[in-house]
Amino acid sequence: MSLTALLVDGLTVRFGSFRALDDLSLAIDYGEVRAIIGPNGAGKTTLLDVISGITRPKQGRVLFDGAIDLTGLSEAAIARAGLRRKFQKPSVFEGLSVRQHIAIGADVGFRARLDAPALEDRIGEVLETVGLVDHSNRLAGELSHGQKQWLEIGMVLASDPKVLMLDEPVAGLTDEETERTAALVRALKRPDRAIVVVEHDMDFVERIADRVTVLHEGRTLFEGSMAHVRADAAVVEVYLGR
Amino acid sequence: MNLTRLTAVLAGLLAALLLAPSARAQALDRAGLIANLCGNASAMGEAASVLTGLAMSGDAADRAFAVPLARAVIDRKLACDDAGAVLTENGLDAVTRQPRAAAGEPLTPVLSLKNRATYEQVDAALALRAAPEASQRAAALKTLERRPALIPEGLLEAAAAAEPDAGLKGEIETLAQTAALTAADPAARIRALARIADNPSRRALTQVSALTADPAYAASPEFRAAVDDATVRIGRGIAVGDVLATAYNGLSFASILFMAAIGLAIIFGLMGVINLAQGELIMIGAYVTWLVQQGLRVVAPSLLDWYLVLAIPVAFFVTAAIGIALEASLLRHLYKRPLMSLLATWAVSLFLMNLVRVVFGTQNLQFETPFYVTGGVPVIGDFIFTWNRMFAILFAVVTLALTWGLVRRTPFGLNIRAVTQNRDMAACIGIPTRRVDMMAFGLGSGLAGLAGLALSPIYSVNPQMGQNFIIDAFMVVVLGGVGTIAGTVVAALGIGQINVLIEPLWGAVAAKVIVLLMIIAFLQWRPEGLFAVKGRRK
Repeated sequence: MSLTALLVDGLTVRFGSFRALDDLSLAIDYGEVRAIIGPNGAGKTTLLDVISGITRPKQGRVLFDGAIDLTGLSEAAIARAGLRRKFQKPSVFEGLSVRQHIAIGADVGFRARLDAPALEDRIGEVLETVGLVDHSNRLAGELSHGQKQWLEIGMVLASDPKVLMLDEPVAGLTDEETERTAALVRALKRPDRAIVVVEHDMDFVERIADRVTVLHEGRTLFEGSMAHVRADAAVVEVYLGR
Repeated sequence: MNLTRLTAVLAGLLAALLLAPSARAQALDRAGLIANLCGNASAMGEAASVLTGLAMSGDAADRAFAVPLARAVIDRKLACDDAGAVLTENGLDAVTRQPRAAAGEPLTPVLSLKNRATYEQVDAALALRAAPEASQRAAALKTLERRPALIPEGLLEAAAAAEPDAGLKGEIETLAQTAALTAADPAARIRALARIADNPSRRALTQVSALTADPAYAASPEFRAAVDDATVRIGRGIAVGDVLATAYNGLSFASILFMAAIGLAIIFGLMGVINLAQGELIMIGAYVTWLVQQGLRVVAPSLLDWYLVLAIPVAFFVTAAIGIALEASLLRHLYKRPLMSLLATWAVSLFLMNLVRVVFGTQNLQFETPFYVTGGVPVIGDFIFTWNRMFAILFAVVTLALTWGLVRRTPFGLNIRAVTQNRDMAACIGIPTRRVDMMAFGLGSGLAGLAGLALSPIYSVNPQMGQNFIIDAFMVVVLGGVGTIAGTVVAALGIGQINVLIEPLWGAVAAKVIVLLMIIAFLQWRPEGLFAVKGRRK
């Protein structure tokens, strides 16, 4: 296993004349929690879209685990390789139960990876981790917003991914729920896993992130710890100047 | 021979003494009967009443003995001599049925005008009871029918009870009713009315209401009351039968609608593709069923009756393969363009229809009707519980159960539901959405093929049959709520019943128009349909 989980190399994505990503390069290591911040339109979600295969880049590539080029693969193939992504809006399957979500997340497709008892164990473990044990038989549509966020995290967590991408996991949550989510994300940190978090909430980012990448107009503006980010003049300019 | 004759006479006398006055039950005096047949007009009349008695309640051997006699007298093939008589047709003694020639100058009895009619009747009565061939019995029944008033009471009932042929039995029963209604005895007529009212049908109503013109209707208050009562009871029976028949027809139509729509619902729900070729897949399912039938005819004629069952997997897999090929070659490239996919499937629909026209011709296909979809059970009034409709209903129920099980209880079904509800998320947790699309399209197409199989015993099968179903099926899908099985079931039942209810009142076209308007009105109120999956569609 290489030390670098994800290597983003010279990515360019255009929507018409708008450059969502402009020759962006960055590296994310195993064992770290990386926060990606930036003002609206900076390209944060687009970056996740490219990594997870939803958007095809015009130029550049994304290497996973130092060897696998993700840019030509389908979403499902990327997910199978061990990269899982939680969407910005809670994207749960409203007609399925909480338990079924975790089951789908853990054991998808036509080739079951886990046998029945192992699957049950895994579901119980994940429900425990995200704190939804008491809701396992409810339909996802009935859950509160915060619970949906956790359910989605649980669903992407269930397959034990090597790269976990969380797009605004605390958007719309109460302070208490944010607190719980921060603890959850820290608990998910492992030496063989990279966690990428896109978030606006600076306090939350400060609490979870090992390193922070600031994007601006599709490029990396700054990379470093949160304390350095707060002190950086260019970042302050971007965030506060206009 | 004389001894036999004497014994017979003695036995006859003895029986007459012991069992009098029941003339019918006594053992037959065969020689005496023959003697009477050779006698004068009144003796012949007596003989006729003995023969009538035999037709009604004699034992089978005596009846077989009596069968040729009346005909022989009518045709003047009975030669009377001193020793009795000979049946000249085949040269047998009339009593013993041993071959012998008539002695001396035999006399042939001549029927009086009155007796001739009686003997015709007697001959028919005997033939009805004892002729070996159903066609002979049917001919006898026709003869009896000409003079219903002359038929002895009880004969037809006895004949009907013993009749093995179901169709003939029905005819005998009908004639029995008619005969009883026109009987001379008012009590018998009232009894007959009660019996008729027990089996209500439109024909019975015609029969009974004709009696209001009968003189007895005005004369006898009891008869009048009986007629009125029977009319009311029959009317009620017919009404109940009509309601049941409507419900049953509605149910079978709903089954067909459901079968046609469920595949469409899965495809539309999953991919948002309106598959206009679904009707042609139904048609191909019916053609595959026909091909299986033709194949069995050549390969295994003994299994021909089971072609509907044997064709189930063939119809499913052939249409599923066509669906998968269609998805993989064409629709896959059009998912982001719903209008294009609509037009493309329409083109496929026209192509398939014309391909079948070229290969098989435009005429309706001929299907064998296996015994398990033949006939039915008359229930009440004019309602007949027909097996071909029952086949469609049962088929739809089994398909519903299997589809429900597949979608609700298997990993494949879980994948289908996940992709239906949120395609992007499903892809990002590793569900191979392309493969799910393809397999679900195959499933939906295969279900259309099964629909074609199920309706082949009911509807005419020709290249344009699919056109009749696609619109209805699409209405079911939209009304039910996209992609829900429960919604499809409820919508099919509703549309099926409403169609069948309106059709007899204003006709089939008006029914379609009214149903369409009702659906439009309903969708104004609930645009998502009856049962909608809560989910975001993009």
